Amino acid sequence: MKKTNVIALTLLFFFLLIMNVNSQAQNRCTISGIVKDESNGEKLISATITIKELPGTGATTNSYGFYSITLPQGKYTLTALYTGYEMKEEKVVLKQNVKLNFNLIPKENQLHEVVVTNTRKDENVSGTQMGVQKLSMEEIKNIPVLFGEKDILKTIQLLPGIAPVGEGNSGFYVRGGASDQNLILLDEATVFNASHLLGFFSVFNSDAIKDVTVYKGNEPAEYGGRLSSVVDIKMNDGNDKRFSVSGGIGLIDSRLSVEGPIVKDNGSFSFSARRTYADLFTALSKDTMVKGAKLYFYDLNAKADYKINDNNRIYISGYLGKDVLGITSFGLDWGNSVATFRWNHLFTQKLFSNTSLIYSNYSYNVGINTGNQINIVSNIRDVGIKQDFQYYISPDTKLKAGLNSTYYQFVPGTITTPDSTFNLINKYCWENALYISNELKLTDKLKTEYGLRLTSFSVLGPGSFYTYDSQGNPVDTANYSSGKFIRTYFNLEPRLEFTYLLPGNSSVKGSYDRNVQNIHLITNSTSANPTSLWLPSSLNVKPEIADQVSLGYYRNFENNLYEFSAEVYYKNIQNQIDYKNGAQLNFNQNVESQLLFGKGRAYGIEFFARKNAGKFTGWLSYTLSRAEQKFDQINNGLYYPSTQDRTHDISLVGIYNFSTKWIFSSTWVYYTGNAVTFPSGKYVLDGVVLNYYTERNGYRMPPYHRLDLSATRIIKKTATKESSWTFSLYNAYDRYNAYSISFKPDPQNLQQTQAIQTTLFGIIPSITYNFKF
Amino acid sequence: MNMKNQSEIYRKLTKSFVLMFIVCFWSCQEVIHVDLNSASPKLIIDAGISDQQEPYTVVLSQTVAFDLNNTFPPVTGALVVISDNAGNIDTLIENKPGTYQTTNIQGIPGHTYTITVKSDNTVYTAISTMPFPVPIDTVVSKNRFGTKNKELSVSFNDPKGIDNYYRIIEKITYYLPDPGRIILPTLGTVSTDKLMDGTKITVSPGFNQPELLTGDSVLVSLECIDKNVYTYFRTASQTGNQSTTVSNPVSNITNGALGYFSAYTVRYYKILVN
Repeated sequence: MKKTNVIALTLLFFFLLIMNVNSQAQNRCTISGIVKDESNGEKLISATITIKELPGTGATTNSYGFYSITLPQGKYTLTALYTGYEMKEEKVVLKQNVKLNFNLIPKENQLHEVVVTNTRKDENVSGTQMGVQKLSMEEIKNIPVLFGEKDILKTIQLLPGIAPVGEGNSGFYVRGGASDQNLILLDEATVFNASHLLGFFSVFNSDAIKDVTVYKGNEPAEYGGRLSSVVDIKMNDGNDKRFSVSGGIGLIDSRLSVEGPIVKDNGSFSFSARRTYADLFTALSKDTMVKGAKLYFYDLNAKADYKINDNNRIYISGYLGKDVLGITSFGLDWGNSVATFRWNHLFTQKLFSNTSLIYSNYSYNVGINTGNQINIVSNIRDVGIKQDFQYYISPDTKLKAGLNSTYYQFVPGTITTPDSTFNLINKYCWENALYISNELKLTDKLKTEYGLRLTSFSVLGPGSFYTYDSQGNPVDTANYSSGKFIRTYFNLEPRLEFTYLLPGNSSVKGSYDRNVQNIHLITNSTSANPTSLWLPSSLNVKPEIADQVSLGYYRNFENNLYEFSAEVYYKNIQNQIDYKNGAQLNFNQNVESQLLFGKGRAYGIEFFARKNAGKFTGWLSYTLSRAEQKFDQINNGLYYPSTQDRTHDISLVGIYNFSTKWIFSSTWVYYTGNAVTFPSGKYVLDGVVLNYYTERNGYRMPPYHRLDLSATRIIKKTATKESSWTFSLYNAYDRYNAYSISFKPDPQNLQQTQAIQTTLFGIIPSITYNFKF
Repeated sequence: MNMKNQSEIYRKLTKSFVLMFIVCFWSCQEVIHVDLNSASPKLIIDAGISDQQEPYTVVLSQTVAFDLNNTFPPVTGALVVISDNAGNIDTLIENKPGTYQTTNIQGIPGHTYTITVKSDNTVYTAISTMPFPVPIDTVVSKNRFGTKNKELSVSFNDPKGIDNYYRIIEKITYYLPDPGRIILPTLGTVSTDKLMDGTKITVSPGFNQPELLTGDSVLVSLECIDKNVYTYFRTASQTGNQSTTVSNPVSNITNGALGYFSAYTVRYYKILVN
């Protein structure tokens, strides 16, 4: 970006800010508080507060359930709304600052509600955010997935612009971005590998999760670090009223959660565990190799919060998960561990602050014993501090600012043999970010949110740094001592969104965003490989930069019963990474010499139609898109489809609340196959028939489609006790989707070569029992 | 054991584990039809010179469309010349269609060889330096991981102080007739002495070699090759179908011809699999 642009933007920013402050002249007071679930004390995120006397004025709770609204003195009626809860009204005589908490009662039975009034605000139309998707846990729980295991990351793939990587893979592509371009946050900590069992499950136990929000590259300025998306996942706080136990028993795994008060109404804890038991089945096998196999994963989620006083609250949360695979002479285990300590502080009723200390670690360990014991260990670790301020200036303007500082340590691989140890050079980096953003209502019709994020990424010593010639041979090595700054990349990331309200509950929104990514996952495999390497920006690897513009139209019908949206986007990527032909990415000290740097572009249109309430709910999403890249060394320097290019992507989701006893649901997905490289001929060399390839990604896998069905029989449902059986069918019409296609000699006729398709899953029935007491 | 080889093994083990997991539980394979383009024919140069007694042969052929039989048209009438840095030049004679033979040049370790092929008015060249030979120390047979088959472990003493690149080829000279057994030739396994310089190196060629049964006779050859030829075979074995960077092997021949030119030394070892 040009310097003059930066200056102009900064000036505009301050001008608008001063304008806000000027509007503060009158005698005003602040109402603030927390919105909670009355039954268990869970703080409700994005609940809406409206004011009867001032239509069009309101507030939304932040991720800690906090809201603040500043109004001229007077008498007001405040209404708190949240999907699935009874709305609640409170009358306030505003003469001085007031604290007002709302405790909302969950609707006992949503079936009785046929006419929907005001249960859901038209947030999708009137909010400034675009390219954002939220799913309620209730929806996620009713949507069938593989083995009946509810899965957040699988379910968000049913939303427009978010495409699955493939069968049995929890990775996903957002708007044509690779799966490492998604920042996955669990209570603010980065989860580096969100896959269990090589991708068949995600690491998120849905029993432990409260809220999921996906930003498709349009994230507000407080987020950053990845090009394509942010998936912000929040864990349950725990029940601060009473002890409660819930769980489930399925074919593949069992889950158990315990929650309860630490101090009634003022503190709670929540603890969830999950473990698979596929290894119990392998133990029954007659095949000795299968019998000796170890094959399981587990997850532990824990969280506690405590209210010190009205102005201070602390939270501590953690996650630990591990996968263990092993057969005779080979073992592989991997897992994430993350922890966050947070402190909410109210400086004034208008100024909310959160301070977070964040730790995240991902590691894997390989053991091979082919006579000698060999171990390979690798990890990526970060520790950071994050400070956020939210300043609720007036109902029309909210200012957010903060900073973030993270220190990374990369251990790409240490190999230990009985007589020697060898390790790839460790890497150390320091990432800093400073942001400011403002949400501003300019007129009754026009709202905007604009912000700036300044990031720095420093590559630190100690270490040896190589530079390479065009052939990839190291030409120079520089050695640096500990703590030395080797290279620092600064980037300014502007974010701008606007919403213009149109008559008839509809709106137009537009946005421009820049995102920068300094940590890159190096993998040339489409399957989720736990041993893929994270590589920071360096002397050779520049930060990847994406600029995205998008425009959308939103409209709700019949009092927000139906919603519809259409968004178009165009994204331009600089310093995109791909790999040389035959790149060697495993245990290569010179892995950077195997990379290619080029350009990328992605564009598309996303349609989304949803029915929000009633006996039948669900949505239809359709995305038409293209993702291409351009590298001088590949396909003659022309644009070619990225692996994640998906022309068509359709998801159809239906949930039918048939009676108080039965809930039926189904999903159907269809998408264009990945762009792949297939041979366009063959030849013989040393008696071996080899494939002849002419271009990268010149072919397509066959289209993928699948229907899943699920039926839940509710045995008991009261305010405190629940039990149910869920029956589901994955791939109900037994479609043989291609997982991979390989080309081999035909064993019947060695003169011929044949294409062999591998299918992972045909039809799979499953049954799960869930309970809560 | 060699590092590169280790990471290779471990990559394959990961893969085989996934495969095992999948195969045991759900997956299935079927033959399908895929519409593939027919690229225009391309020249393949299969050329080598070794420290064994001359003559040496160079085979020129062409690619064919994927759906056709494995009959590859020879490229005739080409001019093929091999020379070395000691001033020896040999113009090869085409003694049957597409097969060209040297007349006098003898491969000598340490010499650098150049091949020039002129065909259809295009000139292709490649350069390769012949390393010094390394004898095989021992070969033992053992059970192949996860199967009832056998495989071989090949050991040799790596000379210290120089970068060595190895290629191991197992040729079954006599095999037990077993119903349904199909023996397909393979390109062999390559390995380096990186991080293992000057030590005794043991390579379990494993997945790039034929599956063996007790009673088979195998002729193992240990070729010392140069770095570019090593790169050729390393990239030739990367054809995993989940890979996003599948391509033709990285060749040392100019002008886009497929294949390779290798100046190599070779030592043999015979073993009866038990």
